[in-house]
Amino acid sequence: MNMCPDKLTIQAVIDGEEKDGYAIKHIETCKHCQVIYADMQVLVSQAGMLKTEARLPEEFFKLLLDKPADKIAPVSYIAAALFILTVLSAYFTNPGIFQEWLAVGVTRSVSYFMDLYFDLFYFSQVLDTGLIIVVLTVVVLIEVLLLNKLRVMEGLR
Amino acid sequence: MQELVKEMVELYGDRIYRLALRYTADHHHAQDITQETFLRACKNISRFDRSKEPGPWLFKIACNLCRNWIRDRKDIPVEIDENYLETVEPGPEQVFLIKERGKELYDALVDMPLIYREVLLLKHVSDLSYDEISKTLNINLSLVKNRLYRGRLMLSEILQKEVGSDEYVSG
Repeated sequence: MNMCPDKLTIQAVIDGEEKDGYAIKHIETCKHCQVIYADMQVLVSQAGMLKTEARLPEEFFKLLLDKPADKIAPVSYIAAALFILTVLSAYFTNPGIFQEWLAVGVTRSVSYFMDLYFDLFYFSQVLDTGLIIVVLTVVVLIEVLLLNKLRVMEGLR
Repeated sequence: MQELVKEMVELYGDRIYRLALRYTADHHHAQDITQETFLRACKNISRFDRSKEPGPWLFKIACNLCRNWIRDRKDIPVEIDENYLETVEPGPEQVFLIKERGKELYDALVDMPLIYREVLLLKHVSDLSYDEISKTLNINLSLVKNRLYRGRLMLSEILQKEVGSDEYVSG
C-alpha cells in the first residue's frame, strides 16, 4: 500500500501524461488504486462534457486581415494638441483675449454663483420649508428616473 | 508574416475560439476574443521567440482577454447564445436535453473560482497538455495537476447539486 501512487499521479495516468511505467503497472494489480482510478475516471469523463466541436467561421482569416489597424495616436494626445492649438490661435488672433477672459469670464462666473445663492436664499425666505423639500424630492426623483432610463437605453442592464 | 499568422490561425484558431466560447457562452463575443488574440499576437510578433511553440503564448493572450471580459461584465447577467448550445441531434427531446446540459455546464463554470476554471477549460476544451497549461498560466506542473483535480471535483459537485448525481455519474 505504501508504494501506491497518489491521486494526482493516477489522474496523470488517465490523462495520458504519466511517463513512469511503474504507476501504470501498479494500478493494474492494486485493488485499492483501481477504486481510486475508477472514481477519477468518472470525474474526468464529467469534465469531458466541456469539450465542444465548435469551429471558427471559414472567412475568419479574411476578416482578421480586413480588420483596420488600431489608431496609433491616443485620443488624449490629440485632445491636448487641439487645446494648445486653440489657445495659441486665440492669442495670435487677439493678444488681449486672456485679459478679457479674466475680466469678463471670471466675473460672470462668480456673479452667476452669487445670483444662484441669493435666489435660493430668497426662495427659502419666501417659500415654506416643506414645499422646498417636496420640490427638491420631485427633482431628485425625476433625475433618478431619467438616469435609470438612460442606463437601460445604453444596455447597461 | 501573413503566412505565419495564417499557420497560427489554422493550428490554434478553433481551440482558442472554443475556449472563449466556454467563457462567454456567445459566438460573437468568442469570435471577437479570438480575433483580438491574433491581432495582439501580430502586433507583438517581434517580441516572440520563434524557436518556441506559439501555443502557450497565444493561449496566454486569450486567457487574459477572457479574464478582462469577465471583469468588464461582472455586473451584467450573461444571456446564453442559442447557438452556443450546439443542437446537432434531431429529436426535440434530445435538443431540449442538450440545451439544458449546456446551460447547467455554463452555470457550473460560472460558480467555479477562476483559477480552477481556466485550468479545466485549457485541458478539456483547448486540449492542452499539462506542460502547455503550465507555460500558459505561468505556474508549475504540480500546481496544474492540483488545480485540475480540484477543478474536476468542484465541477462534479456543482453539477450533482444542480441536477442530481445519477444523470452525470453515467457521463
